[in-house]
Amino acid sequence: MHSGDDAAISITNLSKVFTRGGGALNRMRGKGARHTVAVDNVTLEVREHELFGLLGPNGAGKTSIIKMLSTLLIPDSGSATVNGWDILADPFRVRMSIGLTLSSERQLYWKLSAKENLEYFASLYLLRPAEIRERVDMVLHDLGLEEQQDMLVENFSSGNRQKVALARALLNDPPVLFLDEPTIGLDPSFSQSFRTLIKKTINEAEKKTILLTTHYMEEADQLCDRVAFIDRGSIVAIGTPADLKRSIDEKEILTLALSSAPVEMVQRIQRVEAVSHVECQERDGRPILKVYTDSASSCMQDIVGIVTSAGIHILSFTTAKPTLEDVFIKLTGSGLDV
Amino acid sequence: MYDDIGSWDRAVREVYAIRYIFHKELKLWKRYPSRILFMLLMPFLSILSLYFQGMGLVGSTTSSAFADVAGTTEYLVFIILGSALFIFVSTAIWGIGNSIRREQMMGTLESLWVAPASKMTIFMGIALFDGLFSAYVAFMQLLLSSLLLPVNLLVPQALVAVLITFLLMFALYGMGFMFTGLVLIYKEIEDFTNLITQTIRMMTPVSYPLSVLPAPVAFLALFIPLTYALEAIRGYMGVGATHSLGYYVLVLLAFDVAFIATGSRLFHYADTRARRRGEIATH
Repeated sequence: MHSGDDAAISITNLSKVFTRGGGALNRMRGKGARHTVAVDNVTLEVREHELFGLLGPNGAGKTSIIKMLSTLLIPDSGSATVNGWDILADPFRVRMSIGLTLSSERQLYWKLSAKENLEYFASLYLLRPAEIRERVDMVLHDLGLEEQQDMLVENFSSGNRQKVALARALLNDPPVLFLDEPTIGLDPSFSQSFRTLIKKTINEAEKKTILLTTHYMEEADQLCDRVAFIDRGSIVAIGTPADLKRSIDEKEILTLALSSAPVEMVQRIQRVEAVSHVECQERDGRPILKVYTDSASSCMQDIVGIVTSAGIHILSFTTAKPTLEDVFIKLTGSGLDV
Repeated sequence: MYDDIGSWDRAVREVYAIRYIFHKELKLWKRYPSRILFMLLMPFLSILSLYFQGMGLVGSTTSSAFADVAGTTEYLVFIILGSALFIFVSTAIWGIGNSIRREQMMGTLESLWVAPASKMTIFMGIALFDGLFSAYVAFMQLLLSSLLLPVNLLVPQALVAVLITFLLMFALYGMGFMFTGLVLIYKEIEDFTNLITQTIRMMTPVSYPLSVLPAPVAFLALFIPLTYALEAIRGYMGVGATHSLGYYVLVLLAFDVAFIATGSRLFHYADTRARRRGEIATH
């Protein structure tokens, strides 16, 4: 690493506000500019070899942070270093130090084969021809793409396209990887194997520092050494998944899918002894009640009684330990599927 | 992997990248068979249309009336040379911007922008492909004209035309950088580019001599490098008066420096603006 400390990524008070519609034509029409706070005074550090997750709903500012760190977006204020290089003062060195995959499926040339794509991008990472041949063969082998290397990308599955994008991010053997929603749009079984690839091969074996964004809490829980919750551009909590889950006082969560959820009924449940907090969400058009409690067994009967006496059907009923999503909901008051 | 990269080492690596960019453009081009058909037929069709246009207007490949305004009777040679050189203009002005717009629409632009290779390297790779494409079409026009029509354009003086075209290209690519900057700001600028390209065609002696233009327009044409390149090439190919070669080389070099500097600055401004506003990949 360039600098002496062990922070592979260091972010200090980073902010970004997007302004739209502030042109002369709109001013003449009497329309003002619209300002959207994408990233609000974010400070965090990612340690060398760490797999760090930015977890938050769509539009929370995760991708904006990654784009600023990868020099695609210029921050309004604050500073950041990647591998010891300042993103504004030395963007070339930052680019040399990173690999990036974006959430878009169309980040490759579909009319080129996987190998042709990789050779082309390797040249843009300023590898010499001999290095290109060596690195392309290596990443194709490491990611299990050798057999499909001559196939046009347009004939790949979504999952294998994402693998090629990951292979591309590894071409320059960068110490730092940014993975923006790496498993979005992939089927569950492929997502699982892709996560294992990221964790075991890229992070643990190749010792890459990885900053990934996701709005899948299982992904963050399973993969990340540490997680930062981000909501409306701000970091609301940072810690290991285990520490974050322990930060919730309640030990159990009852989740009830109901036919309806009138306010009075929710308020009655809220007043039950041993219930500390009730959240009402909607999933697939059905109300979902999350009841946070120290002891599910001591309040379960009371809750069922309140619901049935209100003439409401219980469609499903589960008890579980708090998940990262529960912590997120507790901290922000909203879920991740926004 | 390359923490110790020095400026010379980087320059060599950027040159290798130009080669790969050229090959990538070529491979993508070859994957669409209709483009190959277009490339084969286009030179043939364009010179035939020029020939029939000349025959329709003056009934011959030469014209004494044309000599009164152009200083040469060789009407057909005059417009074939104008047409061949104008291919470089339209390709250079629109080529890089169009290519960057295509990357934007395909979703690959951010992947290019995050790579360490210089943007100028990316542009040079694209320009090399476009330039060779233009050279092929122009050469085929001259070759087919010499084979099929009663003119001979494959003369030793054509080497001067190659030199002049080469010098003209830098100024044209300077304009191309400006239009690429406009793509980053305004995204869809095809109509605007067509307008500029047609304006240049109207103001410069591509299909007719400057003397037929109104004086103010002819004066403005003096600020367009194509005017000098056309005059030089036609002069050395024997269809028009000419200054010394040194004069044209100096004038075109001056345009090269001015247009490349202006184009690069405008592109840099547009790139910074797009990265500040988060609009690199927006459509």
